[in-house]
Amino acid sequence: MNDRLRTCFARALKLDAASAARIDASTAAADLPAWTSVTHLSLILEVERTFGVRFENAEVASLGSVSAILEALSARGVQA
Amino acid sequence: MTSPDDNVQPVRVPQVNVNDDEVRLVGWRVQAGTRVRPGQVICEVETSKSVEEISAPAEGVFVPAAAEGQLLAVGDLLGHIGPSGEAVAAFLRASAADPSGRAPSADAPRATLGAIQLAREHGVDLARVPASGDRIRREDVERFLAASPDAGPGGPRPPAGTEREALPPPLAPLVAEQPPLDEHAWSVARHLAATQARLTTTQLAIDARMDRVVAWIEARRQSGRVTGLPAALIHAAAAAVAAEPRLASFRLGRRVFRYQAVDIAFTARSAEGRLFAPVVRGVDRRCLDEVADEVARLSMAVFRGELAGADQLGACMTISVLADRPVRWHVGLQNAFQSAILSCGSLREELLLQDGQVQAVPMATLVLSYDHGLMDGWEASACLDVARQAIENPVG
Repeated sequence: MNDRLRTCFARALKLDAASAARIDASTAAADLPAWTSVTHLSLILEVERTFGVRFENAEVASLGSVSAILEALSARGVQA
Repeated sequence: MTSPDDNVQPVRVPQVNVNDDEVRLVGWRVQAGTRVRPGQVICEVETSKSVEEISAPAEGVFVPAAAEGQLLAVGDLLGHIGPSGEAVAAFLRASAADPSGRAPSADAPRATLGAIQLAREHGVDLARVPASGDRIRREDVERFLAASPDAGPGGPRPPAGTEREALPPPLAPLVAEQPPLDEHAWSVARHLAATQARLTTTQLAIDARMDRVVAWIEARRQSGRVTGLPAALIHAAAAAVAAEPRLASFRLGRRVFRYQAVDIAFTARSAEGRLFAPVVRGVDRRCLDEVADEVARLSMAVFRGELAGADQLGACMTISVLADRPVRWHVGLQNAFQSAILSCGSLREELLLQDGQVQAVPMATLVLSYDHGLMDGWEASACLDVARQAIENPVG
């Protein structure tokens, strides 16, 4: 994953630089206490704005891991 | 010889109060074809503030032209009064009018009475005002005036409800006036106040173990599905409704209405901080995981500010969660045409003695706000206990 995606996490979840740097493709919501059902909505909007994509509202629930987000971006032709 | 319509007169929705351009027809007090007297109540309509009776303006046979539950603008047709049902039928055939009863005009846009009055006050040509729906409403004219300060000779008028109320003179030097509520916030405040005025609200609280709900949420998070408490509380509310259907009822005065479906709303905020109550349909037919996915879908729609109108209507009750805020419990206010709201505060750990050992267990306090006009505290406490049991034993 690239730093643009890490920046999305840092902004939406209000993470410090060290915490954001530890995020990788294996990270899931369960690994980050700040990744809650509330901050998840901000994260999705942040990713959409950053990469110029739009996720379906119905798929948002399943985007609770970095790998799922990467896969959803990839399906839209975006490599993050 | 007289024409068929000489003695038939329309009965239209009057301006019940200054704030409402529209009313909802709650119910008829007379049946179609009933002979009515002048002043006899023919129906009840719901405004944002109260339920009002509409009386017959003349003597004759009343033939309704609107359906119960229908939203009607001031000036819309409620029905006709004529010397006989046949005379009214002949009048309707002869007029072959548009179903609303308004005389169609090629150059006059359809507008509510409030819109027409406001446009006249400001000298605005209604043909220039874009309608947000099937007709131009007062709010449309207000938006037009706000966007076009020079649209009328009177200049822009403050949005509905922001008119100044009298400030007690001794307070004047102590306070500074702030910008008024925006239309959404004002709408929420107005409807909550109107609903509270209709209810006899009482509250009950109960503590619930949340260890199993927390485990369920954690299991979903492990599987990459971000989940919060609302779904579990919605499921608990549905269990309470199943045990006591009066929770899914509401009063209009002494009349009681009960929702047919277990559709439950939850409070959610948009990215701009606006409060909405999207509705999860058929909760009693969905498993907890399905409810959680639907909550996520609706929450995203709210957060984007794109919640469809159809996703906000018809809930039998509401739940409210403040789990991520530092509050032990909170009292929810019932939404319009509902009598109950189930609220949940933040999680906390308490030490419980279990099997001879002290354990730290996540707990939360549930608060049920209900209408004491529909059930008493004894009955409501049983409902709340059912909700507690359901949230303590979630079944994914």
